[in-house]
Amino acid sequence: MQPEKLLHMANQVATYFQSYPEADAATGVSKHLKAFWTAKMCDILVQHLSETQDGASPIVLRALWNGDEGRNPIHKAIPNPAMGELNSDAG
Amino acid sequence: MGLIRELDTGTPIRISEATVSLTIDGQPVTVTRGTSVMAAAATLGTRIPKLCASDSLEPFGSCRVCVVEIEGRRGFPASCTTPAEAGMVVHTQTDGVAKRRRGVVELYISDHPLTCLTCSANGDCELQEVAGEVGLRDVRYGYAGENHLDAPIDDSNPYFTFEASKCIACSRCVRACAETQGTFALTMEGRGFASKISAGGTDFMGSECVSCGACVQACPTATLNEKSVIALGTPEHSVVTTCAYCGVGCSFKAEMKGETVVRMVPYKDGKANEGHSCVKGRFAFGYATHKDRMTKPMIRAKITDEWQEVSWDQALTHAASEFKRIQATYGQNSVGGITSSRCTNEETFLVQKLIRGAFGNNNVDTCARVCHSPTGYGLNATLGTSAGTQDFASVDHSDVILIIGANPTDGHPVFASRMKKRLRAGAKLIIADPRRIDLVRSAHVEAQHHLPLLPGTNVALVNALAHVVVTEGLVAEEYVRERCDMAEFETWARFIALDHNSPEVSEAVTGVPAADVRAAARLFATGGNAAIYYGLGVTEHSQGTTTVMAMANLAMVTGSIGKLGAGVNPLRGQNNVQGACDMGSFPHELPGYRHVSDDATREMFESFWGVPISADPGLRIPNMLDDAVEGTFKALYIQGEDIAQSDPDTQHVTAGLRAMECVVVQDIFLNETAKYAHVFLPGSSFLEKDGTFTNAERRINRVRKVMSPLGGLADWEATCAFSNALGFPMHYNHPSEIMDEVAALTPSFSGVSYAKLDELGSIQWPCNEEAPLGTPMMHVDRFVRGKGRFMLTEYVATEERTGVHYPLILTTGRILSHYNVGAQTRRTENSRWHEEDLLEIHPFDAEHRGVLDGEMVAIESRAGEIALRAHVTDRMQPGVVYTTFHHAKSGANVVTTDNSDWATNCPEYKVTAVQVRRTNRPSVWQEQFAEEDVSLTRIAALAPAAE
Repeated sequence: MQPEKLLHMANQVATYFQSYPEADAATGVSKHLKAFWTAKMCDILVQHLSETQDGASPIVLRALWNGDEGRNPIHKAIPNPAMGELNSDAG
Repeated sequence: MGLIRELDTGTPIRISEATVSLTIDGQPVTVTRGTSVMAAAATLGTRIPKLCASDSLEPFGSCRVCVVEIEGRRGFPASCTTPAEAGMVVHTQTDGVAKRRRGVVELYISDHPLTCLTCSANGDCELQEVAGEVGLRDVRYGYAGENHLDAPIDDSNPYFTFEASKCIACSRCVRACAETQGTFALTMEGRGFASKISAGGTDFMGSECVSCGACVQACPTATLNEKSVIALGTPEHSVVTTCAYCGVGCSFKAEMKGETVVRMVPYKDGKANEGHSCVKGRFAFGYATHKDRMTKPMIRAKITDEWQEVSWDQALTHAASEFKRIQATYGQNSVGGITSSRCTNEETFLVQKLIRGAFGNNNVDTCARVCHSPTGYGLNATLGTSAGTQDFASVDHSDVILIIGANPTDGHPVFASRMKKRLRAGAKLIIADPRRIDLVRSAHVEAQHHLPLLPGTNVALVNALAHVVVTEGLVAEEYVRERCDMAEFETWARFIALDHNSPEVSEAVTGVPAADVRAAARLFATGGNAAIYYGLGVTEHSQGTTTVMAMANLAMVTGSIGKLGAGVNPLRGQNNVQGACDMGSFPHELPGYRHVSDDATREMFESFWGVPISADPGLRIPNMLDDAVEGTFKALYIQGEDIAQSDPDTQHVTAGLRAMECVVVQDIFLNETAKYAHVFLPGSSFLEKDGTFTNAERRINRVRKVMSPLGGLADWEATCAFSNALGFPMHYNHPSEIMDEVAALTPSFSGVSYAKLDELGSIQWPCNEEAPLGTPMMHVDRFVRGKGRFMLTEYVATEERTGVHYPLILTTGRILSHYNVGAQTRRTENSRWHEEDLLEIHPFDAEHRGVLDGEMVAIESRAGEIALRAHVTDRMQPGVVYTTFHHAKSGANVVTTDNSDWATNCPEYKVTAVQVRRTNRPSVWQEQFAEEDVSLTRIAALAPAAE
């Protein structure tokens, strides 16, 4: 996938989380990418941002380089797989 | 195996905690207060003759056939309109009763054609039955008097006839149209002898009739009769199954002659529809045996080659060798698959199993990607599970209904009828929709507030509603304190109270007057049980997930989750979109919504299936297509989906498909995606297989086979054969064994089996040790995630902007008579109501462009251009245009863009900046479509058989 498109997608995720404190927002983005992106997509984005950070949200950069420092705004409370609850984005 | 005859108690059994005991024909009986004598007798097995009564309708008391005698009362009261009372002593058969019944029926028969032997309802006619029951032997009045025997036949409707000469003026059709369907298209015209049923002074086709079939179902004679029954005769056996159209999941009796479907009759015991239907499920089943059905496997080397018919074995061996070759050449992740929301749970489970087990990756996705994926993410984040919270019956208890981005009378008509019934009983209605949908104002239903927001501004509007609740002191404080995370609530409350979320400030964004928003918010918060129903007008936006969260916030802050009449209720698009998601169709999770990175879950599946499962999330559909265009994704197995028509930015989709080396399409028709396929596997319709569908209420319903698969294999059998050819063995004798595997591996399904489904009729998951009979309502005492979580929902404008070049916003949707890409309904008489996709445009915008109603217009966006005929209507607001995507040749998705939801990549179908201008020709894409409709679909002639 084109790194520019991946960056756009990551920035979109960051735009949602930017209402939260930056450390938490970065963690939210980090967890989101790990949960829903392929490893290859993450690698392409990291490689791209290693070369240029033009257009990248600071939250995305912090998410990729400082990972999970904060509290994920979508953290789990009581995982309950019997009720169909884990990391779903089902439709 | 014979016809299933459901008990008709004549009038409804009332719901009441109070009971009354009485005696009927010497037998004691106890019924709930308000139940009629007729229904009380029926519970004893005593059938009182009737003509105008049906337990799907309110008592009417017009035919006078059901008279009885009651001790201590004078005369002969009608049992249908007489409530059972304590101590009542009823006699249903006395000389006086018999004489009066016979006299009444004699009058009916004196003006009724005596053509029973050649009548289409012969053997299925209540008048005929009643005449027999009352012992009518002759008609003293003769037949020479004034009568209605020459009344004309109205056969304008493609599915049923109206033979007025056979009408007994019982008004069951009129009442069914009003009470059951809520359309009020029929009326009793005239007085006395001149009384006649009228479709509003015109024929049925020209009337407001929506062809739901309720009148046909209610008619006690052959007056309203299915044309299929007239053509084929009455059926001889029935099989209960589930409709394969929308997410309501109606139960039907497929009434059969051998393997031929004579008619589909809504099943009273079906919990989703309770005996009602719509034009699609009731009548539009003919596609299953349409001449376009593909019944032979086919292969070809290039998409420009002619298709070659081959055996199943040849096709599957070829497909398997291609997938192996491609993976050997381009890597394990260069292939993937798409499961179908139109197929059964069992089939979907097998496709994702094949991809994870045989392909060895998680590159599986489903059409929920393009419809309700934001629902899952948003509800999961706030409430803890992705499923809708209520059953359909919950709406009977709603006092305020908020509909956002849904058009239930078109998209989910059977549920809409139930909702309209509640609205007629006094519930209040708020509609947030850019279009003036029918529910805004229709017969006996009028929304208290229509909030005609601009497309793309849902978040701003829902935030404004919540702002009013918080700043005007309308918070359900006790509920929030007890049920929700208070720290998250306080953070959210501070956010939502900010001025920029107020109705006054957001008016500039949404276009909705602040006063209307404030009034609607007050009504929602203080009007009693408040429910939210929503559809793709919420999810198919760049902020689709945010809107879902905002709605969950609004429901929590008003205490509107976990009780009857409330909830956040997604109206699912396709019949099994809920089930497809439950069965692990997403690239990051296994069945039961468990993430692929969860070691314990993965180990359980690995142990059961005997293969390693990748812990890395796979590609979503748009990712697959992007990688295909780049040359790293090379093969795709698609079961029952048509992404070349349904997915956005058609030219990007087809570019991706063209770039692949092996596309396998399994479908009942040679659909648009099959133009780019190399292997075609003939699919089976819902009538040709066993399995289950799960509807929008999480209700698992049985699908039962009524005819043999036209292609030789049911879809689940084809997937097994493909997997076997790939070297990952799958062996099941029956889909029930697949469900057993689902239950063994999925905690929320652990109590589900075919035996239990047969026993209970249907089951709403979760169904397990904690809830052995299923779960009608979620979040009753606590949220699935524990404490409900308020999420921050800042409004962010879409990147799709209008401007000088593209000044209008195009939004898309569906209409009643067609379903999704139209592959099924276009091959039925439903096309009579919608022969082509039209562009709805406001008179101001039309006049500004010199466009007249019916003229061809070009619609151009940043992605592409198409041409459609214009329909000028003030249903639209100025600046917004609308079309449907039911016809492939229209190419509605040629103009939609690849903008998508931030969380799930659900496409932003609902907001496309366009320009509209007059034209006199199809677009370049449409001309190419017409050419490729021939060049990419050629099938080689079979060589003559050797002597």
